[in-house]
Amino acid sequence: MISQKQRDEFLVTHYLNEQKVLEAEALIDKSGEINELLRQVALIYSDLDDLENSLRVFKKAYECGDKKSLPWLIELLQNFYPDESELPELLNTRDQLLATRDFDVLFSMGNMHITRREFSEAIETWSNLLQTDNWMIERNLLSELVMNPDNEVVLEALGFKGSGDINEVILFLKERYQHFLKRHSEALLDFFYFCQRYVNHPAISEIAPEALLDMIHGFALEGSIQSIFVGHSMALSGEMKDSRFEELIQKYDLTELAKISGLELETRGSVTGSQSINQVPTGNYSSNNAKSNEIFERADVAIKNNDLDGELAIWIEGAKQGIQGCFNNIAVPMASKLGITTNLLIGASGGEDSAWSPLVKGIQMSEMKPAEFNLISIDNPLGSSVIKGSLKERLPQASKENINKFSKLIEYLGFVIKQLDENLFCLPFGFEGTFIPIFAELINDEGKDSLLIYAPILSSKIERSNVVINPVEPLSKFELEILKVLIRDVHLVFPNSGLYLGDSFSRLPSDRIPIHFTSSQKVQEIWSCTGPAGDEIIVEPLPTSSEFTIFQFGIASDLSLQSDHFETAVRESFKQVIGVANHLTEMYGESLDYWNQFFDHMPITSTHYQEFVVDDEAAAKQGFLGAQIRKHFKAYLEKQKLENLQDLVSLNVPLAKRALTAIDLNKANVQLVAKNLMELAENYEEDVEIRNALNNVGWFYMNQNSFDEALPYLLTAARLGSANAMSNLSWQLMLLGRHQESVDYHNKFYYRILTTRYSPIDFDQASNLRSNNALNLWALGTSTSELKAIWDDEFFQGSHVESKFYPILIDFLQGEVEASRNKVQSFDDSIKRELITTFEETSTHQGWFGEISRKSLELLGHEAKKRRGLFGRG
Amino acid sequence: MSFHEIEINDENIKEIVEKEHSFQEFEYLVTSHQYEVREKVALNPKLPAVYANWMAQDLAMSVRVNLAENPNLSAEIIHKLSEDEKIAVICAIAKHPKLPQGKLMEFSKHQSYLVREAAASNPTLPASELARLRNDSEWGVRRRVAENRNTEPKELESLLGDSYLEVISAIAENPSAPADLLSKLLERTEGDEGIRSFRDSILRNPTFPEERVIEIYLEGKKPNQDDSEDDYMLSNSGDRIAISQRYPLSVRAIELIIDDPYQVVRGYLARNLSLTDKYLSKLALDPEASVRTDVVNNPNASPETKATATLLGLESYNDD
Repeated sequence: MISQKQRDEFLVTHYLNEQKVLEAEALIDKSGEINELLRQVALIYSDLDDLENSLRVFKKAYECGDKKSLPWLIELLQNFYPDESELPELLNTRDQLLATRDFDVLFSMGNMHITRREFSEAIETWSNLLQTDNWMIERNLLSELVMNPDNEVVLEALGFKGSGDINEVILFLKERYQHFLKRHSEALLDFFYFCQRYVNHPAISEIAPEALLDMIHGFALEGSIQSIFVGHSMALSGEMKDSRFEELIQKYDLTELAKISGLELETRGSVTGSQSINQVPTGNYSSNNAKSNEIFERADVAIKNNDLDGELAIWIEGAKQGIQGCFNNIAVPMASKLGITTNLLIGASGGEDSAWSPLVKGIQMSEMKPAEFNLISIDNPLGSSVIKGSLKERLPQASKENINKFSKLIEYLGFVIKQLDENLFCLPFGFEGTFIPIFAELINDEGKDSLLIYAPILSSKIERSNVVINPVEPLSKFELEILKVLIRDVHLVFPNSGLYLGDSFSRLPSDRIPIHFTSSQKVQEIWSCTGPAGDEIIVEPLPTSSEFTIFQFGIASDLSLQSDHFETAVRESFKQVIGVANHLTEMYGESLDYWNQFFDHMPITSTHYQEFVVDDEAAAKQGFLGAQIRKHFKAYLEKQKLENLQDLVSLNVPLAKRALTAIDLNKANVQLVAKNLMELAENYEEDVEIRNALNNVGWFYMNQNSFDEALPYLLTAARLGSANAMSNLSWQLMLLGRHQESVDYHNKFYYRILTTRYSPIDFDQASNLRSNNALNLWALGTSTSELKAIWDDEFFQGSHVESKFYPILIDFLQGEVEASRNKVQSFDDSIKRELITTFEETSTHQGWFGEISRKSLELLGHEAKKRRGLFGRG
Repeated sequence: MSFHEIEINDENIKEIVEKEHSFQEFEYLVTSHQYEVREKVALNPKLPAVYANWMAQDLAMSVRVNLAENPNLSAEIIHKLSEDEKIAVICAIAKHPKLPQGKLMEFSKHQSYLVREAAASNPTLPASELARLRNDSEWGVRRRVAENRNTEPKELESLLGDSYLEVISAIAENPSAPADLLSKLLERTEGDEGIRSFRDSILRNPTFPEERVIEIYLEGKKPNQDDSEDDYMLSNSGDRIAISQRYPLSVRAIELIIDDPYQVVRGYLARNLSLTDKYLSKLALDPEASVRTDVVNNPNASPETKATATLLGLESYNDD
């Protein structure tokens, strides 16, 4: 709802704009709630040279509690009635308020200076308040700049850092207004009039009128009458089919107010009108730049033809030539294609399923919410480029103490990181089926210990024929701009929202903010990661067929950062480096067409590299481990010769032994495989590949009727979490009557097995091992109620067949013959057949379970197999 | 075995962490294949010792870290965790109040600042050791000294001069910080917006005299601000909001704050556990739905008070 007070305020403001002071004052008196507007009435009286009324109303305002009126009142009295008796007391009050730096008094005193165009004095008066990000203070200075953009005193006071060029000032004003837009409806309206004034400037014409209208609508919904009327006028003048404001006028019953104020039918000039969003620039900017005009004219033709691809190509062409406005315009056709919309309040949204959206949104949002960081270029060769000695110089290492500090933090954060050298670490990070090595290097640069976290992200373009297209070409300015937008996306907190919530490093000391950098190096090798992630992974630089350039992106942090600050720097650096590499990988993967338009280089994750590095045979000869493992393994698969496996394991690296998990077992290789897998298993507490392979070894020996040989492999597999191995183990031990031994193993490995269930087989076998354990407990004399509790546990046992059967068998053995038989009869035939098969196999057994099996068959109504031989021993 | 996936949402987490499950239910949770479930149940104070023993050997470091935060651990489990190979687990157990003094002193001298920081936050660390750690080279360790209740006033006073705001801010939160020290600290916050957060901490600190708090509250209510500006920093609503969150609050303070013109202040007051139903029933009639909603969420509100607030209408959250 819109209150009467809001209506009165609006009408008084209208009267004051019309200089209808009598009406304004009368309405203020009638309202009794808007006395702060009396000061404006007094100021209008003073504009009209009506001294007596001006004095009268200032006094009235001051008596109503408006301290902002006090300086004006004193000024008038001093100038025209210096002998006025109340002046000393008023002066005294003012001075006391000034001593406490009262905002109201300071505000008006500054405004008096502005009125007299004494800007230095005004800024001096507001010196402390200028840092408080206060809209009321800054509003007056911004208004001055809109009218006089060359006012250097005001520019400097507001922190303007540019050269004073009109384009820079307009961009600056746009940024400042946008800063306040979210909080103040007056800021939006001021911004609107600023846009009208500079409508032909590229930075203004880029603003989507719909977005501006959406913002005005936001304030209109909050009851800002002026926003409702301005929005309505803007919609009319822009010929937009937007009835929202009309509806609000009806909803809030503002028709009468609109008529009185005359605003209802007023058609203002607007930023919409006939201007297209990407219009040809006019004025100073384009008149000096024929190339720019040509680009914008061509783009306009593409826009008129609704040719989004053509428009995009033109903007990219312009941006690569450094023509102002083109880079930002790239986002317009792309946003249309990807379904991205941008609202100044809410931010950019949509296009979530496209890898190119972060770039498009970033370009759009960085206009209104720029990120503050520099992207510097590092010339020194980084350690990851010199580890194999292809480059000679290295930066000195950081102190041992700092290297230790970093290592401990990495361990604390739970990162699995490979140490390549004393001060060089590598986190192999998986991207779409391949790895990018993320490096952490601790260096001493000019006496200061620093941590560099970086990764190769781009390289020279390499054709499939292994021809390097541009071996030494650096990243273009355009590519660097794209990179900055992608960094912004991973650096800002909620980069695409309308609100500025800081960046990753906001809480770090301002003198030690980490620095974003790029580095390019000519190399003839590329880092390769072989094997699964973790300790076993082999990270080594493989030689390439020709020299090319790699481009690294990273962040340098000061190692004197402490505690949470240090942790933030490390975490965020990894996050950002991975984030940018990921963006590039996904962009390349999604659209090669876009990629080739935007980039003259390749992402480091391109599959081309697999062909670009020397082949395994050659690399193996040069001693590269990953290549040697692949070579020997391949040779075994082809020739099935044991010596190939022996060559493989003789490399004596864990990854070579892991390759044995993929070998089909036979009598010739089982010993070698079993021995090496057992050695490998010593390094692990849990591992799916190794435990499955060891369970297979166990089965292999059991099939040879050699349970004793199988036992250590099954036990090790169970230790690594194999439910299948433990289930086999407890069944076999039960048949052998080694019940206590089985229960002990079960208890030892139970938690590990249950907490490392991944596959459906793991879950099924976990039910089975619980059931088998219950059988062993039964044999050891555990009460039937406890046993039933295990089998009846629906959560763990689910549809496990034997678990349904054994509780009935217990009842059967305890004399509930008929009831038990009836329960078993209700089983599906397939289940009964499965049970009969199991118990037939074990019914000839001489031990405890032989008797259980025979009773089970009796319950199932099936005759047990007869023992063969005269003595029933068969 | 049937596959039971538990959805990790706030409601389930609360139940896993807080409920006194049956022995059998604990086993389901403790042996879950979802490490997120194990992480949560490890925090449950009712976790049976047998399961705590299992969890002390969990492969997921985060599970062991959470277990080390469980207040009801046996000496055996604490010992096992204090020998863990992972520094994150050591850091977690170093904070445990039942950690033997010998181990705690060992951790307070650990070469990694991460462990020293954790030890410095242990409520049983003696004042003499805290005094030594007060000079630690890492501000994170000094911050923990500043917030430890065992730290002596003279050590806190010397930390007032620390170059890191985080350390000074921790003093403001320390319920053992003497009133005069807090007053000194409060003076430093005057006119400095950058340290607003620890001004709030001082005003909420129960050691800071309520008489002085009431004075500050009344100063903050003076109409010296331009209402149309609605600027948070220029008005003193920041102080009033902090004071309304103070616990405990006396009857006198409650009766002052309950009529605050700013609904945010009244809202925080309505959440304050110092309020009895007598005051909550008054706030249940508040013109602002948000305040009435806060009344309904206060466990001290009687059913009648909640019904009154609900009848007058609660704040609605529309996900659309």
